[in-house]
Formats: sequence, structure tokens, C-alpha cells
Amino acid sequence: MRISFLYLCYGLGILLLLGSCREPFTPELEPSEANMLVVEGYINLGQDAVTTIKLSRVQPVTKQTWEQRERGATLMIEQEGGSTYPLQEDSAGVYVSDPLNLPVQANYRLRIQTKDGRKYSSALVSGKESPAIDNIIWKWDPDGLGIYANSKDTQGNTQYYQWTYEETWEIHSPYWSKLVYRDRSMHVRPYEESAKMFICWGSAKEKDILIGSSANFSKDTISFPVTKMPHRSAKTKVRYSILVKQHALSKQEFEFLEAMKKNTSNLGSFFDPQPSELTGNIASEANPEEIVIGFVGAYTTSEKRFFIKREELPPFDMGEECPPIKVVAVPDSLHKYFDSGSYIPIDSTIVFIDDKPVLAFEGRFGICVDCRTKGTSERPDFW
Amino acid sequence: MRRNLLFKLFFLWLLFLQIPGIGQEKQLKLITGDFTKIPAEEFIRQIESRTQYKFFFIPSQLDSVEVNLKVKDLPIKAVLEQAFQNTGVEFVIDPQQNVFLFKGNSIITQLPTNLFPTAAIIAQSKVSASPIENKLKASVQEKPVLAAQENKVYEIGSRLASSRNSRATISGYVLNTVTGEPVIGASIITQTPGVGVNTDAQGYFSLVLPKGTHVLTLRSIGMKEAERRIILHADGKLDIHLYPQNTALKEVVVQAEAASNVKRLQMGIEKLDIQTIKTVPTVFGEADVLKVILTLPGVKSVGEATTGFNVRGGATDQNLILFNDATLYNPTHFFGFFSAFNPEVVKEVELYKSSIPARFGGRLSSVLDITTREGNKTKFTGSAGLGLITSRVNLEGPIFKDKTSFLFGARTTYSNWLLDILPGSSGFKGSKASFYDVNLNLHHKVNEKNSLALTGYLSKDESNLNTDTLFSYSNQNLSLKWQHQFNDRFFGDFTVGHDHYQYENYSEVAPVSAYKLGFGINQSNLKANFNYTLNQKHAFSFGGSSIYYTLQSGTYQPLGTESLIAGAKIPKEQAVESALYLEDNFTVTPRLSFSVGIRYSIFNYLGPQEVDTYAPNAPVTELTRTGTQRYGSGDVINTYHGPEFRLSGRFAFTENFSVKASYNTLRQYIHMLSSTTAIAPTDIWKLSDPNIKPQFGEQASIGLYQNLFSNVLELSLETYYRKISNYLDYKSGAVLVMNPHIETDVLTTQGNAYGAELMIRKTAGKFTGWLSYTYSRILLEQDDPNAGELINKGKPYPAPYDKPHDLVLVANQKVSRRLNFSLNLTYSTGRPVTVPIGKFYYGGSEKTLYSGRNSYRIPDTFRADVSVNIEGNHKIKQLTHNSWTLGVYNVTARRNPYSVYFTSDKGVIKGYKLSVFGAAIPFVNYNIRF
Repeated sequence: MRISFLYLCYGLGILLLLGSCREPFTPELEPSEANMLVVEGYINLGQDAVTTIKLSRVQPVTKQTWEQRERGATLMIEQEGGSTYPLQEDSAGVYVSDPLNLPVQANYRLRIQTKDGRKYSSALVSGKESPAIDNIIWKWDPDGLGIYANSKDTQGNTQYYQWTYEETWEIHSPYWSKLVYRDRSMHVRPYEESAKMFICWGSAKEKDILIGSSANFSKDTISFPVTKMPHRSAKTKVRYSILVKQHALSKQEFEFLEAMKKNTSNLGSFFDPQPSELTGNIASEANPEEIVIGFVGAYTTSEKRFFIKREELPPFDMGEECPPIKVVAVPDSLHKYFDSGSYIPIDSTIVFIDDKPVLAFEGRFGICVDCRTKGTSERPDFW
Repeated sequence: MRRNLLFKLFFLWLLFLQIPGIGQEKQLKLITGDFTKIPAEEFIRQIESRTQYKFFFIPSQLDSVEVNLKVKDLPIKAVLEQAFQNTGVEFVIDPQQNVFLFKGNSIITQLPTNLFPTAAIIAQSKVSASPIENKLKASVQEKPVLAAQENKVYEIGSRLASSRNSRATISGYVLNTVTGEPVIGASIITQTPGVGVNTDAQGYFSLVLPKGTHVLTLRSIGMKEAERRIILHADGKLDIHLYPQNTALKEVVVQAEAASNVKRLQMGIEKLDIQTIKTVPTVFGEADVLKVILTLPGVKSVGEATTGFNVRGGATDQNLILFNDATLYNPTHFFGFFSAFNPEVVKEVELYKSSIPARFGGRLSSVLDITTREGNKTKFTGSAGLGLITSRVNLEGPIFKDKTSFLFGARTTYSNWLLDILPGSSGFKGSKASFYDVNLNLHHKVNEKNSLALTGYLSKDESNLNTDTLFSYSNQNLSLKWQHQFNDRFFGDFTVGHDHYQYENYSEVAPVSAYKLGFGINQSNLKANFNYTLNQKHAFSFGGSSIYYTLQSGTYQPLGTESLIAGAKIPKEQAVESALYLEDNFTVTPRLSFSVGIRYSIFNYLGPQEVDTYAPNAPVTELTRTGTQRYGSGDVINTYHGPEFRLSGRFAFTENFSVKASYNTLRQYIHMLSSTTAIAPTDIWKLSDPNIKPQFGEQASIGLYQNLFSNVLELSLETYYRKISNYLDYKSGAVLVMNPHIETDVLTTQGNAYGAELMIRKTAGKFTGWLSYTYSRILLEQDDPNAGELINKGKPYPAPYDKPHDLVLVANQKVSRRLNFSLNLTYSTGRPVTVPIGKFYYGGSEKTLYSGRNSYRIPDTFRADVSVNIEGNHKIKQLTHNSWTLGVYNVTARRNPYSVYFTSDKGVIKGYKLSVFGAAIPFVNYNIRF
């Protein structure tokens, strides 16, 4: 609703021939409310489990910047009454542990020291065993192809769940390229390269926080729609695979993630949600009032991989728009069409100009020929 | 001026001379003559010369009257009747062949009935149908005695009545002598013993007094203070006519009930009449009831152009807004730029903010009781006003003279033409902004003991103002009230009515996403109120009410054939809210009085409905839902009920200084959920149900009242403390619009409000006005982890309408009868807002970090408005009377923020503050009365 008044002022202003009365408003933030630390990740328990923690900083709302990762920090997992396990910065702001073997029956916290020397720690949490995923199924729902993870905890301890997933799908280019335009002339493309352009694997991760609860069910069992794709999806054109990871959550962490999930960068219209508050379990050791975003829990991870072949699904066709072009073998023409890479030559052909045969090359859109624009040609080890 | 003198002498003569009886009147000569187009005075001279009649009149009253008549052998009565037909001239002939001609004012030719042993009945001549006729008849017959004169002794009851009782009851109506309307809330006080009452909504009063001689002092807003001398023999009736403060032009009068704020039992009542309201400058120059209410201590609004108001830390939905007994859910036009009350039909506005009488209930913070006038029962009148943006017309008059009257008022805006002539490049061409409202009141006096009033109200708003959404809303109210007097001490009224509020918002900017969003409230009411005066110490009021609610909780529909919006509908809600009450106004001594009231309210939530159930002792969220319970039509799903206490007391240390205290508890069963804090046509109203508990409030307050300089200066200081339970605030990330299980997105909070209100008011003289300062806080708290998330870590946080400091000056300087200046100064603290303080990435998407709930404030507000009222000439006899109002709203052109909002644009969140009136706005208004 806030925004629906946006033009009201203009409207009345004009009505009275007064002009605009909208002015920028930038509240003066308290110093403690700028550049806060954001911690994302959990302490991964169990056999050879690698803990991954990402650190970043809150950006001013007025800045048009990408995520600001926090580099050069020192992180360690602390087991209550036991040892500590350091994390190493793997890529910018992403810290990983060695494969560890932390027991579930213990309490853990994460300690962070940022580059500027400030110390933070998460509250002590007790380790939680995540139940195994029973199975993963697909359903041809009216609104698309749904992938569901089914799970249960016969002990009834879990109740709150979080999922992450990695999808992988095989991509076949509609056309095989025999030729390559290189150094202002046409060459035969090596077979290996043609093959790499023909078969690839696309991948994606979850885009949202996926949480579910069985708290209101009489049994601790849950069937959660992990992801949904259109009936005619490029992901299932050849073969599709999904690796679902599941972990239990504490109630507090669940509530934290629930609020985080509702939080969006959409502001303004009266259909948009109200502002939300985020209270995690991480605090500055020096200043308890300092806001730190994040909730670090400790639990095991269970995972399951699932495949769908095209033949298993109801038939559908993927209409692909790959109109051909035929370019006469004139250097300027070839350069114009094939140099940028937006068209890729496939094969040689003959065209007739004034009833005379002329050598030409057939080309297609790059995305119809080189699948590496949609994925990687490296075959995943599980494929 | 000989006749003038005679006129006065006549009264002396009348008082001291023995009057002959009726039978002595002799047959009089018939008149024949041709009086074509001659001035009235010439006509009178001719009649005088031909008959023995002597005429008495005020020459100035007749100087514009012309007679056009031919008669043959007619008695004097018929001749005069014809001669002065439709001139407004009335006459009385006494047995001594004296003819009294007059206009407007009434003459009582009757003497006090006990002055002479034989009742002297002088006047018996027929007068053109006017109130005088009834008055005379009434006095000629038996009761009630009509008392229009100050220096006369009126005798009540027969002196022969058995005198076993040392006390007797005097009752009757107080009427406005010009319009014939009852005067409501007039105080009638005797000094010995110090006893007083106020007239009720019908102008009726009933007072128990020791037998003997008394002086009654009458005071009322807008009426001249009056005294009546009576000799009370036995129970009897006395109707009292009061003169308006200024009968000629109803010019601006600021007149408080003198001394009433010290003497009145209740505290925390603000009473304003329309004349006072009209002196306060408002934007566009249109007198605005709610804008003036906002200048009173303890009353605030969240923004400059919002008419939803907050009383003593209450939310906007915690005010019961009654317009002639009808509940208004959106009392504004144009998103709050105008209030929905036509100032031309409003008579009086009362705001109860601490001691709320037991007859009111259903809201926690205040009752705003707005009553409209009755139509003029004696003649047709009207008025019209022209402003830059709005115009209005008002007509009233008798349907059956002295019995039935009507009052019609209508307002509309014509800003659409202005928006249409804008150049296309302005981007505002074709914007829409229109509203209208219509009032129609019919009043019928069945007889002395019964009267009926039918009131109807209709308003409609439609505006888009260049948003892509057209906001349209409407109020419709109809009520019928029957007032009945059982006896002198016992009377009642019965009201049946229906109220309807709805809004519909349309968006058609993109055909694929065109939608219509609708919401509606219906309520049917039944009310019965009784007043019983047991004796001079106890006056009881009691009664009951019942409201049947039907809420159209939301429809969301695709608009047009291309729209891809999936429609949704939230099921209707039904409930009945009923209450019984009893209140005793107990006057222990003239200095000490109490009001003790109890109200018991019951709320039944009714089927058909599907109610979700949630796991016990867990936050109500979609994930803790355990099932859905279905109820059939007429099933009582659940019931809330409880008593409400209304206690107040007053002790007057001196005539001019008193202390009052009050304690109230209140219950509210209907909630407004708004993302704006103001009332807007996107708000959701929700009935209490098994998952949403009713709100409960209690308030204790104490106040000191001092009047100085013969009540010209009134000082008051009131402090209060309030506790509010189960006030709904939203959860983080809540979605309120079209939410089928809204209980999962709201939280109940507990509120603590406290404050002090200081007011200095000058009520008489050339300079009038008031200065009010309010300090008030309202802090909410949600610290129960089982109820859901903690807000601000469970610490108290300010409600979105928490504005600690508020200072208002309203001043009016009268330069002459035709010219006066008004000034209005306002300062207040900016309201709290929740602002985005940063953005970050989490779970693969961009998120917004908000400050703690309501932990920032928008800048403070300051505004100065001035206006000049210029009245046309004061000649009584002219076709129309006109007046001009000129002024400047927001003289200092300060850009007071109305609201702040944030919007994300190309990856950047931008904050804006919106000032609605970011410049000095001149205005002009032209008013006509006819």
C-alpha cells in the first residue's frame, strides 16, 4: 500500500498547479546499522562431512552493487568441551573445512574473526541427526512436472526440514557442426570439439529457501515439492537428474529461515509483504547489540540422487527455432555472419545464383549448435 | 416612532391592567375597500381610519411590505389574513381591538396564569399557520406552558394540587425559537438548590425540584444564555424557547457551554458546534469536521491528509464513528483529503475519549458522535457553496408545517475537468478523482410524545490519480429512529438501521493482469435507549443494542477477457454483537457526583464458515495448522462476552474549579488490518473468530478544570493511562490483502499508552480560540515466544501512530461583524516507520534488511494556515446572503511529509518522502444562503 500513494501527491499537486512534492528520503542510519555481517551455512556433522560457510556484508540500499563477500576471515568450528576445527577460504568469502567426522551427540558453535579483528560466535547448538530421504518421485501435475522428496522420522524428532538440491540435465544440440570459421577462413572442425559442442550437461541449484514442517501432522512424515518445471522443459528433453540434500532444523532456525524466505527485495505494492525482522543466533562478542544476520545450526546431511529419462515421461515435443542461413563463400560475407559466433557454420552446401551453382555454407544460431552456451561439456562423474 | 413607544407601553399596560373577559368582546364592523398595491403602513392607516382597531407594529419590519387586496364585507381577521399572506407578517388581535403586527419574533399575549384570578385569554385571533399558532393554542389550552420570556414568572402545575409531596417534576422541551428544532445538550441549572440537567437528543429535559420559586438558567452552544422564573406547584410541563446567539445571519460564533467543562460530570469530552468548526481554516476552504477534531488535545493523525484519527494512543479502527447513529467505516473522501461529513448539515460533534457513556460500545478508544440538524419546520431555506474543487447545496423546509420537515444536503467534486484539460505530456491527463455525498433527513413529530426521524447517507469515491489502480469506495447508511416519551421522567428511543461500506479497486493497465479487488461490510443495527429520572439524585439510562455483521472478506477477480488473473474469494463472515447497559448518574451533592455504568457485551461468530484449527501452544502459522472445521449456516462457532465498566466522578472545589476522574473498560470485536496505519480503501476488516481474540482496553484518567474570568477562559489538564490487549500487528513478511488465513500473518500485541493533555481555551470576546498541547506515547509489546515471533526482540516498540508531542493553536479574531481572521498552527512529532537499512544475498537471492519495527521517524510536521471570512451585508431582506472565505493553507510552504515509502528500482532501493501539500495553497470559497 505504501506505494499506491506514490502519485497521489503529484495528482493533487497538478490539480492545484503546484508541481511535485516527492522528495528523496534517506534516513540517517545509526552507525551500528551499516555494513553488517551475513553468515550463511551450517556445521555439517557425520562421516567425511565438509562444512561450507559463506560470509558477506549488508550493502547500503542505495548502492547498485553485487554481493560484497567478506574475505580474509578466520573461522573455526568449536565442539563443546572438545577440539576446534578451522575452515579455509576456498573462494572469495566461502570458507570450507576439511572432511570431518563430527559426532551428532555434541554441542557446536562457529567462531568467526573478521579481517578487522572483530570476533563473532554463534550460540551453542546441539547436533541433530537428519533422517534419510525415503525416496524421490516425480508427478505430472496439472501445472508442471513436480519433483517430491519423501521422508519420515519414526522417532518424531525432526519435524522441521530444509532441502537443497543440484539439478543436472543432459543437453543435445539440434545440429552437429562439421566446420569452424577461424582466422577469416573456413576449416574442418576436429571431431572431439564437435562432440563437445553436441553433448553437454546443464546444472542449477535451488533459488529459494526450501523448508517444510511436519509439526502439524500426526506423524513426522513429509512429502515436499522440491522443485517444479514446465511440462515441456529442456531439462527433461534427454535425461534429468537431481541430487536432493535434506537436513533437520531446530525450531528457531526454521523460524529464522521462514522469515528470511518471506523477505524479498520487492517493495511497494500493497500485495507485497510487510517488512520482516531477522533475528539469528550469531552475536558479536564485544557488542551484543550489533546486528549479525545468520543462523548456524549443526546437523548431518542426508542426500539422494534421482534420474528421469525422457521415455518415462508423457510425450512432448520441444519446438526449437533454428532457422538456417546460407552464406555464399565470399570472404566478406563469411566474416560478417560467422566471425562474431552468433551463427556457427554446420556444413557446406550449394546455392544457385542466376541458375549457376555457387559454394555456400549453412549456419545456425550458436545456441542451436554449441550446447556449451547452456552447460558444460564435462560429463559429470555420476552420469 | 410613536407606535414603537406605544408598543412598549402596551406590555406594561398588559401587565398591570385588569383584562376583561372573553365574553365582553363585541361584534365588530365588516370592512370593504380597494387596497391595490399600497405600502403596508398606508393600508394600516386606512383600516384605522375606517374601524376602531388600533395597530401596533415596528415600522422597520413593514417598510418593504406591500398590500394588494380588494375586499367586500369581510371581518378584520380575514382581511389581515389576506393582506399579509406570504409576507411573513403575523398578527394578534386582542379583545380591546388592538392589532399587533410583527415578523419573526413571537409575542405572548398571555399573562402568567396566576397573576389574576380569572385566566386571561386575550389572543384568540387566527394567525397564519406558524409556530405561534401552536404556542398560543398550547398556552390557551393547558400544557405545556411555553416560556419565551425572561422577565416573566411561569407557573407550573395547579396551585390547588395536593401538596403532600414537597417536590415536583418539571419537564419539557427546549426549542430553538427560530427553527423550531430541539436544542440538544442545553444545560438547565437552578442555583438554589444547585441542581441541573441537560436536554437529551430530543431537546427534552426533566428536573425534580422543591416546590416554590426558582430561577432556571439555560445555556447551550450557539444559543443566548437565558433565565426563566418559575413557580412550581406540582408536576408540569414547561417548553422553553431559546434565541440563537445571532439570529440575523448565523454568523461565526465561538461559544462554549460556559462553565460546562467544570460542571459537566463526564471528562474527556470534546464538544464542538458547526459554527466553531467553520472558523478553522482548512485546505480548499471547506469546513471539515474531522480536521477540527484533529486540533483537539489527545487527537492525532498519522499524516496531514489522512482523516483517520488516533485518540490517546488508539489505532484508527478503535474509534466508533457515528453519524446519526449510523456507523461509518471510512469517514473520508479522496483518501482523507476531505471528511465525509457535509458541514452544512452537521449540527454538532461530540468526541468521547475518556469517560465513554455505557450506551456506546464496540470500540476501544473513542466515540465520535456526529449529529445532523433537523430540517427547518417553518420555512424553506437553503444554502450553496462554491469552492475550487468541491461544491455543495443544502435545502431544507417543512413538508407539513410544524409537523414534518426535510433536510437535504449534497456535495460533489468536479476536479475531473481540471485533470482532463491538462496537456497529455503532464502524464495526468485522464486521471480521475471524483466523489459525492448525499444526506437526506426526514423528521416527523407525531405528537407531543412521539417523533420519528429517518436519516439516509450515501457517499461514493472514485479516484486513481495517475496510479494504475482505480480506488473506489462507498458508504451507505439508513436509519429510522422513534422517540417516545412515556411520562415526564421516562423516555426512550428505538433505532433500526443498516450500514454498508465497500470498496472496489480496479487495475486495467495491463490487460493480462487486469483485476478487480473488492471488500464489503454490512451491518444491521437495532438499538433501544431509555432515560429515567428517578429523583434529583438519580438519573438512569439503560438499554440494549444488537448488530448483525456480514463481511464480504475479499474478492479478487480477473477483469476483461484477456486477464490471466486467477480469481479468488475469501468466504463471508457473519457475527452478532449484542449488549445491554445500565448507567446511573448519581448527584450526591451539587459538588460531588458520580456516573456508574456497566455494559455487558456478547459476540457470536456465526456460520457458515470454515475455521482452521492450529496446534495448541504453538505459533499460529500455516505449518501448525491441524485441520479445518466446517460450520453450517446459523451455527454459533464461538462466543466472546464480558462486562465493561464505565465509572466517572466529579468534585467541584469551587464554582470554577473541579477535579474529575474516570475508569473505563471496553471490548472490541472487529479489527482493521492495514498496511498504511491510516484508513484506506485497501484495509481489511476482520471479525474476531476462534483464532483472533477480541481487543480489550482499559483506561484510567484524571483531570483538573479551571475556569477564569467568568468562564471566558477555560483551562484543563487531563492525564491518562491505558492498557490495550490483543491489538493486532502484522508478522514479518505478512501479506494482508486477499489472505484466506489472516490469523497466520498477524500477532496479538499488548499496548501501554499514557499521556497528558493541556488545553487553554478562550470562549468569548473578539478573540477566541484554543491552544492545546498533548504528550502521548503508545508502546506495543509482543514478548510471548509461543504466540509467534518476537517483535524487536520482545521489547516494547512504538506503534506506528505514536507521536509524542503535539501542539495546536486555533485562533479567531473578529474585526467587525462582517470580517474575521483565523489562524491555525500545528506542530507534531513525526510518526515512526520501519525502514530498509540494507540489502544482502542469502539463499541465492537478494534480501532486504529492515530496521527494528518502527524504530525510525519521519520528520516532524509544522504547518500554519490563515483565513479571512468576509460576510456580505447584513440587510435582512435580500434574496440571498453571501459570504467569502479566502485563505492560505500551509503559509510557510513547509514540505511536511505525509508518508515515506521505499521502492526498488533497477536494483537500488530508493526512499521517498511524500508531502501532499508541499507549497502554500491559496483557496477561496463562496457561500450563498437563501
